[in-house]
Amino acid sequence: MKSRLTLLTIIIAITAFAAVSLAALSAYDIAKKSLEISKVPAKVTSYQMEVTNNRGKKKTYKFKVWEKQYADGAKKLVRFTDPADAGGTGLLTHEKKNTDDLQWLFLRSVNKARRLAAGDKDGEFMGSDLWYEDMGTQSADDFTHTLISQVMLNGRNCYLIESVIKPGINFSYSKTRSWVDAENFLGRKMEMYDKSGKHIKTMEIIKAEQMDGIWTMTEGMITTVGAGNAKTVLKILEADYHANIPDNYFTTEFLERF
Amino acid sequence: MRLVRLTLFLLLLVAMLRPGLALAEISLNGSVSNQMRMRILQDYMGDDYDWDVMMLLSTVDVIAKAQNEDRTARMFIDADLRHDPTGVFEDDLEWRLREAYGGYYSTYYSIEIGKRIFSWGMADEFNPTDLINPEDLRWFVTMDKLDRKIGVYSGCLTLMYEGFSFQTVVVPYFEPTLLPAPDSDWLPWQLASVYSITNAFPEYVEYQEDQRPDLTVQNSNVAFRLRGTLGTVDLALTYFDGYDPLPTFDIGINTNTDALVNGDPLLTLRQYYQRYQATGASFAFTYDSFSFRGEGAYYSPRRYMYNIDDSMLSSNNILTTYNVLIGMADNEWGVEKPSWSAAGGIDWRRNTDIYINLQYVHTQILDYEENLSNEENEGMITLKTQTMWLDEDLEVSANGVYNVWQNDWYAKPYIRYKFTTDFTGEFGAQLFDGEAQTQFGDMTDNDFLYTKFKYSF
Repeated sequence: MKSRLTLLTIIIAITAFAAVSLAALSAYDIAKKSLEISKVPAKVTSYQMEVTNNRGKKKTYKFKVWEKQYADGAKKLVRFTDPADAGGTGLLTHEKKNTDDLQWLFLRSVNKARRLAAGDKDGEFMGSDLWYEDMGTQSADDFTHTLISQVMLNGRNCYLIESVIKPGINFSYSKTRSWVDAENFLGRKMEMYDKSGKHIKTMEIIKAEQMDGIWTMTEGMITTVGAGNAKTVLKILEADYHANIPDNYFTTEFLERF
Repeated sequence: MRLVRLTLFLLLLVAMLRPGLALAEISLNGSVSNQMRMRILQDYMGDDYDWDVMMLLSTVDVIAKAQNEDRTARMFIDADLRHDPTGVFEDDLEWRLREAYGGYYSTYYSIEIGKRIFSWGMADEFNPTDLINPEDLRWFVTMDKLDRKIGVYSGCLTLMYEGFSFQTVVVPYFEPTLLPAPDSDWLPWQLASVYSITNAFPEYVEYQEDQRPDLTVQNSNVAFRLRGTLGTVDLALTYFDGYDPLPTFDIGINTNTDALVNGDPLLTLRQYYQRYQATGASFAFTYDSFSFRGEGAYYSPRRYMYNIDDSMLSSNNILTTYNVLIGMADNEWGVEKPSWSAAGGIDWRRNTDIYINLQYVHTQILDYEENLSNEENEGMITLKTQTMWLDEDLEVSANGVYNVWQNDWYAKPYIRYKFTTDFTGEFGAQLFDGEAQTQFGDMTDNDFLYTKFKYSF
């Protein structure tokens, strides 16, 4: 009986300690940790994207993403390699803190980098459930975060965080709700809401694993509310979190060299 | 000779890139396509239809790329083989080496040598600063702009610093624009009036085609571009010094009175390429869902032709015509004039479903003289609309150009469907209307419907 009591005391103590530790984390801290979990100085990731439309027709794309962090923001280059018809299509994004992103799109049929308007960012990315906006990265500072509760999701203890975009920040969504894994801070599910506050999309993890020691969503699914059976499944084929990427990769000159 | 030059060139590229290609990524892509055009003979529209196949173009396009692991060395080749039995190509076949170049790329500079297609300028379709490549105008402007462009053998050095680049392009080997043949339906009226002389009395005319500038260093075309982003505005300044690939003509008249008796040529028709300079600038910036683009250039001087009076050919008698021509022996056939061209436009996109692009392009010849075959002012409104349906599988689009000053227009409505990610089909029309002796009005008999199927690999 004594030993049982001791065990119970230890469990309660650990739980209480954990609760205190967790309570010490603000919603902002959780969101920041989650957004920065895979934020390394430079990384190269290869993706496969399978887009299934409402009629069950499937299209598969492959693309590679080069991403590098700078003092004033991040730069990202997305380049399609497959299918052949889309091969060479590239999207260059310069994200700057506290200002709108700059984006350029390269299409082989035009043969030059074209500046993309901010409004274009809520356009579908290659006909998928992803928007151009989703291909960028967000800063925790652009949102006001609220910790709604702690909930279980697929057997994982998660923080449910609501993040509302701050006034003056140009973002395609008005708010997001994220289920952040309490253990490794991996975002396990995210709901996106349009500017009228209506739930429009959901992104969920199918598979996650450690790559180069960093927890990574290796397979995820994005669905659009009201789009029936349509879905987009995104898989990471390769990831290099210690990449050495020259700065010239993030120029319009490089974008035009498909 | 052409094959030897090409082989040597490819060997040079391989030698240059060999050290860097040790861990090369090599890829081979391309497409197979077929385009069929059927003329709509307007005289019969309403009561009857008549179809005339104007094009049956089959194309195999191959793109080969090789680059090393860190992408500091690269080789790129784009070539196609085209077959069209409608008589545009010799033996119905033509192969094009569209691009073939090797490059070395470091963080602060890059060097590219070989045959290249450049696309300068931030406006859409009409780019006053995009002057390096000549175009294939054998089908007028009915092919896509990139498909019309002809690669040029060039050296290109690009310096990069803090988001800005300075590009220098040297083109030592001049390539002219490809013009429609004298019997082509796509011959513009200015050219038709020149060819009318040769067509009327071919045995008395010596046609000196393809008089290119000599291959000397001084005759190289050079172009510079400074490009970068200032704040949120993309900017480019450009300078071009080179030969206009679009020729004008000089007509030489043999005033020797014995020429007619001796059967010597009475006329010499010579293509003339004018060297000129162009200073230009372009910009692009975005606001909310709108993109604003502008581009302009000042040209000094370009050569323009005077109108040729076709009435001198009204006689079927060579003696009568010859006497008229003798009286014109001292005539100037062309004159150099400065000019400018500018384009400004706005485009708007709603998600990826709807895209609208509206642009105005103006060209003016300064110090204008009456009797030039070009108008003093040309102003065109261009409109491009695109809507996407069925998860972007179906595209419904229309492009149009309306010349405000000449009241002629061109339109291209089409639908394109993606059967699979690799296989697309397109159905559309290209339509022209306007008064005679206007750019599009002259082509009214050439309205056509088309189908195009393309498989990419």
